[in-house]
Amino acid sequence: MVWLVLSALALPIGIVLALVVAPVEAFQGEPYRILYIHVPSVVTAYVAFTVTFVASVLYLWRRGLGYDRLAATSAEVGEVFLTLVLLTGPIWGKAVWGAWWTWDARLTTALILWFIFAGYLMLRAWIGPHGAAASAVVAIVGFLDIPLIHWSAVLLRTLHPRPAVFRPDPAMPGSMLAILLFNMAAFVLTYLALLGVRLRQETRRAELQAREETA
Amino acid sequence: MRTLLVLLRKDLLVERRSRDLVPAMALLALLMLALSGSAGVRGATSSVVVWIAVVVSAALGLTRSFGLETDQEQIHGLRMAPVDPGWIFLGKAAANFLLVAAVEALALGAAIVLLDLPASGKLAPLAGVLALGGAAIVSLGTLLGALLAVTRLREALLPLLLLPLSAPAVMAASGATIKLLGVPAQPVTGEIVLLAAFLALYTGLGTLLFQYAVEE
Repeated sequence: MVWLVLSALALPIGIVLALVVAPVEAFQGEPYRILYIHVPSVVTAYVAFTVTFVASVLYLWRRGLGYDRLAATSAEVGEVFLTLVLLTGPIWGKAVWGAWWTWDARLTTALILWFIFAGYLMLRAWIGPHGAAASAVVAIVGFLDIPLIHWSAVLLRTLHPRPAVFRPDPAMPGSMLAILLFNMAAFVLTYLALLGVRLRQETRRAELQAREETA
Repeated sequence: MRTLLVLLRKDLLVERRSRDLVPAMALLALLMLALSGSAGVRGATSSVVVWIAVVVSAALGLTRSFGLETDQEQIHGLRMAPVDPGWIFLGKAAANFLLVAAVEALALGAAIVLLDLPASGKLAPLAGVLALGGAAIVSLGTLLGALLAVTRLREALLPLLLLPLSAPAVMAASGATIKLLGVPAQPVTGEIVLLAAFLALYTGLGTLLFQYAVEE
């Protein structure tokens, strides 16, 4: 509940900061502001899939059903954020590159990753109650596939800008960077809030099922 | 090692007697090549179609390969056999690889005839890429096939998982094929290293995780 309130406060503040307070970018003009949604979304999606990966490993190791639920719900929320990335990216790309889509390494990786976790969620929906171990293996395989996809796409040419933030000397003025980091925090907060809601639902559902089975 | 050979022999014997898998996979691959040809695909780029035909027909075959083990609960026998589950995985993977390799050979021939794939004088390196790429796809596909063997709707799920997960292998393999067919042929070291890494990763993961895949 706390997370929900915090993210409900932080998200609109972040949008206002991005649209009103952040300075205009010299080369791209106004369209660059989509950065403040695009980049936090992609960071959050990768955080979410990392959580799914770790939870899946822990499930195979420790066998706690809680890990299984965490893996499933984090993948759900991650897929939502990755969908946001794939929606905002082409809008930005059309404005700045003049093309909706290019088969650049990062775009290819994001798109294939979206398909992988769409398949994972479909598997979870269809596999039934005894599919926790199989789902965990698919999540591990899917996560380990990310560097391979990126690598194979790099064998082609790359147009997407290099990361501007996650490096020792961020290539961005402080006023933009601060707002971007605020938005990242807001998005991760939203992820935690949504994750909490879904996790609670799934835990309740499992409790209910356990009760029905014993009754 | 003996486990591997016994399983390999068993799977090939089953396939020889039943002829369940290869004809269906081959027909599907030929069909995709014929459709692409009739839609106008020609020349070196048709190697992309060959690879898509290979991965899609592999998805079909791998679904059935483990379907054969679950139809009459044979998988429990496999699971309870007093052998390392890693060897069972390798045995299934080796059998699947031979089936996929047969389809690949057929698809390559059909692409040369139907799609003007300019392969003359380059058959040896092409066969190498086909073998490595096929092995990479099969290593991943065998693990997925085992995972999905017990699920409903595995016929729909396996392609949905195998196609995106094998994307790096398909991209590298078709990239390498196009480079090999170029005039003059370009070096494909990067692609070969990637395919080898893919194969090593999924053979390792399969050997390691197979026991989880076939548990109840």
